[in-house]
Amino acid sequence: MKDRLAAAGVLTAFLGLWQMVTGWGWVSPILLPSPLATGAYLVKAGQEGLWLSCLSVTLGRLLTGYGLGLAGGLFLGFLLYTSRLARNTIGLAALGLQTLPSVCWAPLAILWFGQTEGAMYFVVVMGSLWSLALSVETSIRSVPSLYLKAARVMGSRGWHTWATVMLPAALPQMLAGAKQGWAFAWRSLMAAEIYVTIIKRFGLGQLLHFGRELNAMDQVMAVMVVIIAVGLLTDRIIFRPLETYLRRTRGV
Amino acid sequence: MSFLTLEAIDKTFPGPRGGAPVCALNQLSLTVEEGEYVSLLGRSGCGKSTLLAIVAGLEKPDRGQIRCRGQVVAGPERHRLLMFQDAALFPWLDVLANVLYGLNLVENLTNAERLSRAEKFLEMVGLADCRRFRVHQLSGGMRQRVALARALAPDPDLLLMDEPFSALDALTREQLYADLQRIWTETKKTILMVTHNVREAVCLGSRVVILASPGQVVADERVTLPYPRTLNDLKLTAVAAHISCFLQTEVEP
Repeated sequence: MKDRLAAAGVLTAFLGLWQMVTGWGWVSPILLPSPLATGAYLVKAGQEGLWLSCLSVTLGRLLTGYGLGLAGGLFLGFLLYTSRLARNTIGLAALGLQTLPSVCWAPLAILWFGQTEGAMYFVVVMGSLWSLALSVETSIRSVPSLYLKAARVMGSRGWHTWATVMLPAALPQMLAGAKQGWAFAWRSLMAAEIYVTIIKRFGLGQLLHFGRELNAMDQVMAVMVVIIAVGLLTDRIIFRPLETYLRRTRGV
Repeated sequence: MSFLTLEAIDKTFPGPRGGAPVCALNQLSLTVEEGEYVSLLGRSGCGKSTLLAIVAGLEKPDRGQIRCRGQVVAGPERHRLLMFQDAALFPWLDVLANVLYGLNLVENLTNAERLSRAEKFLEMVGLADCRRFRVHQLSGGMRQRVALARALAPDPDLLLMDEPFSALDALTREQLYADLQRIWTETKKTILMVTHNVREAVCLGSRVVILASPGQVVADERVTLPYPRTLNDLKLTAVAAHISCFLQTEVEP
């Protein structure tokens, strides 16, 4: 409780300072909108149903893209674990590609797929796949060999060992990798939405992009707030409970 | 025909880069009868654990043959169950599920039979009340008990133990010695246990086999003291002293 009060205090002070700087005209509102203006836009857009429609479009894209990345990452991760050739070729490429900022894929994506959903999915998959694949591989590789020996002497073989030992033992590390991959996917999608314009399906990134075009910084700022909120909420609603569950049952 | 026969087993491991290969077992032969409790005793690095891994089927010998119940050992099999120094319980399962793990791999059992057997062995190791505990909630001694229940539940022909007590404190260990003797006399299991603790070897084993580098049997003695034995029994201490003396004078480090 004390911690929360202190945190709320610091946050309020920060917002107050921001409001002072902008409200008293020290900084032009064109450069930096005040928190009140940003808040006003947040509310107004909310009443117009803008957040709901943008979020449903964006989150739909995110889930599809991330889902594809996750499925591909799992497959590639297993491949990297089992095949030395894959490790020496795809593994090396993955190591390099995961450092490539996903926005670099946008020009190619537009060229190949045009201004379509496919282009967005492509950027999101490219932005998250490599880090997911590498983390799946490392998670499996770091399963203690003692567990595998124990399972083998009890008669476990092949698929049974995978399902009952490898996967559950690798799960905590895989979850950490999935969380990082999610962050990558989220960033990639924002880059993709800023570059790829689909008039009929308007997402958060596009809203931000048009805010910039119209010089409406309150809109840009408000979209940024929503983007950050989505990131925080996903962590709190999906990843944090899973982590807590694993930590509680396994005592790590 | 003996229960377990090892015939002229050779095993070498590749040495450090550029160095000579390390000989772990050298023409080792050994036979074990059904129902025996054999303590394999020796200094570190004399090949005891390698021997156990080979009998378990986790390692392949370079030469030689192992037969268990007349069958040639070709790989790991649940009839020869190995217990490790670390309990190696699965932290994603609770205690009962850990004991059930090996049982689930036994065919021709109904789930109800599996459950009742798991419960029976948990009771045997004195942990019937801890069936829903998670692994991290158990002490080291309790974990090793669960590992014992997990190993015994599928009813293996041969139980292999690789220094199962070396990571435990002295008091817990003595308690487990008593439990293990009781369980051994109840179940009549054939046990092959590796240890470097002379008194432990004598306290538990109906036979003590001494290995020396490079992987050879140098002594093989029957321990005739009646069960249950306690660590501080004077006769037991005398036998242990005799073996310690032998290890120090006759076996080169």
